[in-house]
Amino acid sequence: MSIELVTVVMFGGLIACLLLGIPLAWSLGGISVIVCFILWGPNGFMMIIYNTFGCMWSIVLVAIPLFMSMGILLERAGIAEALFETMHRWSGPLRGGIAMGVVVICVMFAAMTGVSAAATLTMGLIALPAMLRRGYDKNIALGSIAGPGTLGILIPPSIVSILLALVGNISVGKLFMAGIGPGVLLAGLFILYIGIRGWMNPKLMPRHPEKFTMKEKIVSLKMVVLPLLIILAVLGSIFFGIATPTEAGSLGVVAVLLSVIIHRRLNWKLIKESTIETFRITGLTMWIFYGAMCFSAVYARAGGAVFMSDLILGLGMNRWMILATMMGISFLLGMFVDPFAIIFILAPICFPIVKDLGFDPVWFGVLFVINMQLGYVTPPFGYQLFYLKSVAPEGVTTADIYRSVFPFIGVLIFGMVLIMIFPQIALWLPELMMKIGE
Amino acid sequence: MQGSAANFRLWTLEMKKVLKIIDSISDWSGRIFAFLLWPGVAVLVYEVAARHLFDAPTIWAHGMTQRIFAAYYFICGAYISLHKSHINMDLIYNRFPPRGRAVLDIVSFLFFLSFCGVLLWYGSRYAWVSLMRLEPCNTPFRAPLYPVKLMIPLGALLIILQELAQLLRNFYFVITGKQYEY
Repeated sequence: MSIELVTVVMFGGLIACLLLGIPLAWSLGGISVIVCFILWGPNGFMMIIYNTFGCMWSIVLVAIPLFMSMGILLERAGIAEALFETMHRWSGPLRGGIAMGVVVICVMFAAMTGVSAAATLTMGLIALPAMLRRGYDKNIALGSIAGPGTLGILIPPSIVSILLALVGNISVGKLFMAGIGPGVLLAGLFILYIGIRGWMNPKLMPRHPEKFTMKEKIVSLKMVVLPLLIILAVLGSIFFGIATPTEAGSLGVVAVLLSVIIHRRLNWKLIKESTIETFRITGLTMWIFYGAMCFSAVYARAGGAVFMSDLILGLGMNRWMILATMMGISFLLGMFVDPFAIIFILAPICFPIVKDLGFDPVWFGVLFVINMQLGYVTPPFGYQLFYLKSVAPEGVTTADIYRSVFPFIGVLIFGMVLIMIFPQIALWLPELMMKIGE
Repeated sequence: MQGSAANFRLWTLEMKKVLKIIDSISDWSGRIFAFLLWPGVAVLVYEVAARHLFDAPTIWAHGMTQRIFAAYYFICGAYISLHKSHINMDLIYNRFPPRGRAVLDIVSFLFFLSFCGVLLWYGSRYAWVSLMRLEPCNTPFRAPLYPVKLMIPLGALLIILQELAQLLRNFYFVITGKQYEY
């Protein structure tokens, strides 16, 4: 089979399987095995085993269950309620204060967990009813959870970044640190957007009447201490070279467990449920990972990566056009396909091209992750939308959620363009970390 | 004709017992292996503490973690299949009538089996070779690697059993049009 035909069979087959609702893991794995057999016969099968073993044996991937369990424990730890109360007391007379507070909480959750689910689900349960009750516009209330919730995958620790670093062959620590600046920038842009909307049309977000004394405000600050300690345990230990990302994950789990104990939420049911939930989520991610590793290994060995890079470089476009094309493709795929699958399919093709073009791969990694954020939140297929729907109160329809996210998608794209123009937003922190390391 | 119908009923009764056993194997293997998370966390925290507080890094902590989590990931396949949690895109799938969905699940099984069949068969050979040589890992730890490699065929076997059970239920549904009772 020629490489053109292999490309059509593998990607066409994958899309057909996905459309038919065949689980992602079996689509990827099954197609790899079938193509492997056609190209090289049964002798090729050891390749499937080597790649699967490579995944199981990777110490970097151990970070996935650890960060997953941090997120799942935090959802049940009562920290979100406490933080929300603090934000509520401090946001006071500020118009749109609750929505802005949600953005800040999303950032803190993003810095504590590796996924977007924990922030989105807890804010959907706590902040969404609170905002709707006070007469916030539905679009603002829903969008300010769905949009900023995606920061979980950009701000470290992040499971998406771990996988991307592994597939794109860059340092996990560097990609983690490179996500902080852009994450803070995007959060600032979200807050700015909410502020401007409120200023232009005050009816969208009425001020809340409750007043708090200075003492009440100061007292509520103690709720911020535990989250900051968790963030310090994870990010501080990576930044100062005390622990690898995987070890930092274990420190994070212990820190979250301690705050569960301090919030008096520790019981057998919580431990059992979150242990099993971690197992389930990690497992389904890992099985997709096995299939995807085999898929990209088979495609690469058939000459696919070289073929794709020749094809794209041969178009004779300038390097920014090529970059924009790659971003465009991953954005379009993100509307329909699971972000993890996109990483495995596109990253092995994109990263060598990016290095050939002379771009910084860490910077490109950050742009790629923001694209995955877009994938999480852009209809029709986006986890944020499903998460939010699953916890939204009655009267909120899927269409409401779809409509609400578009301005926030605009903000994300605006932020992405800023980072393209000013790479230092992403790169100053990893460079600083390298200097400290020396 | 009467006789064959009676046979079919008897057969399904027997099958129900077998399927129930498979279900509980998947469920319990999952519930037990899920708790491997905690020894994994403990080992890693111990390593960080030993390295920084006591200046005595271990040679075994990372190897141990890798072994623990290799088992963790691989065994969970069957548990996920039992609870039908494998991620798929259901936009079109959900538009099919229940019987159509069962047919799609049977098609899906073919893809599943080609992947996990290879994992079971070639994974067994891979593990067997490692076991015969008592192959050590390539870190200073030098502990044998075959327990990790054995997880590939073991995990594949468990998940194939579970998916086979699911396949039989789907066939039952496609043929009789009645939902398989648990």
